[in-house]
Amino acid sequence: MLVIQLLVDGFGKGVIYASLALAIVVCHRSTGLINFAQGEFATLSAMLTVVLTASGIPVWISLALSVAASFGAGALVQKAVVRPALGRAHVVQIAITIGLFICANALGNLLFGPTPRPVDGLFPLGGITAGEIRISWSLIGVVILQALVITALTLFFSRTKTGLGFRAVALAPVASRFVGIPVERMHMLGWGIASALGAVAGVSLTNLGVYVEPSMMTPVLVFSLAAVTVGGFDSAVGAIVGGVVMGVVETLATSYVPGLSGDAGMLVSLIIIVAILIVRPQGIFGRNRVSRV
Amino acid sequence: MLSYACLVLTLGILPLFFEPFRVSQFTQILIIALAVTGLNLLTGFTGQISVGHAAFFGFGAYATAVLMANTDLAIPLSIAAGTAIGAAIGMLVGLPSLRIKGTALAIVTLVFGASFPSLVNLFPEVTGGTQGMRVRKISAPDWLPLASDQVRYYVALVVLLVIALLVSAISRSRTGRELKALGDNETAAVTYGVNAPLLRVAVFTISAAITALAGGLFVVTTGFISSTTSYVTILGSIVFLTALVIGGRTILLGPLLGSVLVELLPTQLGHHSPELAHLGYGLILIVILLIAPGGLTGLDMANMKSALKSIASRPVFFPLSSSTSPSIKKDPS
Repeated sequence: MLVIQLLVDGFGKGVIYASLALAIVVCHRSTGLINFAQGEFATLSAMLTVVLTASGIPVWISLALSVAASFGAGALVQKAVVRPALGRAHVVQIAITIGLFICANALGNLLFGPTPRPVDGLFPLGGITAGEIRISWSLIGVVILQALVITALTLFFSRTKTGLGFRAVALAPVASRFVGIPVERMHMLGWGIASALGAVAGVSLTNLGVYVEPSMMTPVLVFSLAAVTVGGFDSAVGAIVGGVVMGVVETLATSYVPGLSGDAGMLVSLIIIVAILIVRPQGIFGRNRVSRV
Repeated sequence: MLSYACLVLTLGILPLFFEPFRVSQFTQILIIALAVTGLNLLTGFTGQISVGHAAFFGFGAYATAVLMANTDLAIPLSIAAGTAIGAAIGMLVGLPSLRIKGTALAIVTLVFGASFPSLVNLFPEVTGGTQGMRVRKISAPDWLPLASDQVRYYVALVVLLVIALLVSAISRSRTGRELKALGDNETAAVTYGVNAPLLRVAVFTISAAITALAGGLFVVTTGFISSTTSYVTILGSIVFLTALVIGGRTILLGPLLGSVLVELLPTQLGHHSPELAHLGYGLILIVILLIAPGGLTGLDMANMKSALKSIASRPVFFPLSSSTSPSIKKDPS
């Protein structure tokens, strides 16, 4: 049935939205900022992977190298650009991430060029067919990869000392400093992890058939931001659920609504976001922030 | 007062000294400055970030274009209609802004702005979709000894100055103070009797109207609009926001300066490589944000010194800010 095929495809896309959304949540939990440049960072990582594989390195190792490089770059960017702006007005901090967006986009254009290039597949070609429904190995692989990454991340946050420190800093930065947690390093860690997640998301996207080019991840970013808004800025579960929902809704909407094409699915996500936020401004899984006036 | 007079005078005689290509470029700058002035009313005054203002620009532009293509409406009336439609959309967007604030609102406006081109592409018979539509440009009337490009420039200039006066009047009025109070601390403002819901919707309406007016002017000065025109896409929203941030939140000079930088930098550097220009632009943005967060017009020695100091030193305490509140924390300076 067409619906089930659409659901499957939508789920695959949704998993990628979820991945980037999770990166945004990690970033937000560590520094309190929504990083509008997260998508562009992911694009740069994907570009790096292409360059590495083009020079002969096997694709999985390229991916690993990219992830490591993204981690480092993300941490560095946090230290160099975001940390100095920590106490500033909200507008300024958001504008800085937009500045990073512009820079990352320009870098991609400059170093990679505007022509789209494919990435070598991480997974074998072909797929399985259940009745009329076709599920490619790439789709299954992408989903499993994201699931593994998310599980690893969850274990890291809940079972390791560093992860505990990270969560402490996210919750109470001043108190964490008093108990000796290196707060600045946790911030860098947060951005590094977010960028690494973005790298995985970017390369996964290319395995779903998308070619690597500048602004490759910009539509994904919009959907991931929508997912994060709907799911709650600090909620990992919300990001994952939101991302998958966005992916499914987008795929269904572009197929069923006549005339809707491509990124017109954004219109549908817009309506969904507004509807949910009006009823529950903190997002479905979000915590209600109480602050002293 | 004198400096403003000099500025206006300089702007006034500019087109007489440059060739039509340059004059058209200047006209563009004025129109972008107008759009940014609209954004300034929302983001500069009340601190609510909109990363989707290009959609209002687009609504104004397309409304004007469609009316001019399908009816005999004169140019001023078409633009007025475009502005009205922009205002209506602004009001619609203002309603959710009562519940959604801060970063969430930024994201909602982002998605709103990002979906505008798709909206245009939904109705290609009317809007021309990605192919776009051609629109009649303003041309010089016979009784005026000026060329067409100069007339377009002066129209844009006059509109910009009138709107700047309007915004200035708002700023100095009680409503202006209420808006700024709303931006500083909404809870406190409400306790002083500020009608927050009314003001929030009103500011969105007027802000959208001004930007839509800019959109209408855009089509009658450039003669073409399509869903790929950068100013109606997410790129346009980013351009408006960054122009505002770079230029500063003053009423006329800030948006003007920001637009000048935004327009001229890519085209000047773009001779060598447009991507390099964008990179430079992004870097300039970040640097300005770090050392001069009030924008170029918000710069003064004390400001910059304290900003540089805060970069060099390590923050001991940082504010426990709630990220879903409509905060515009004043810089600790």
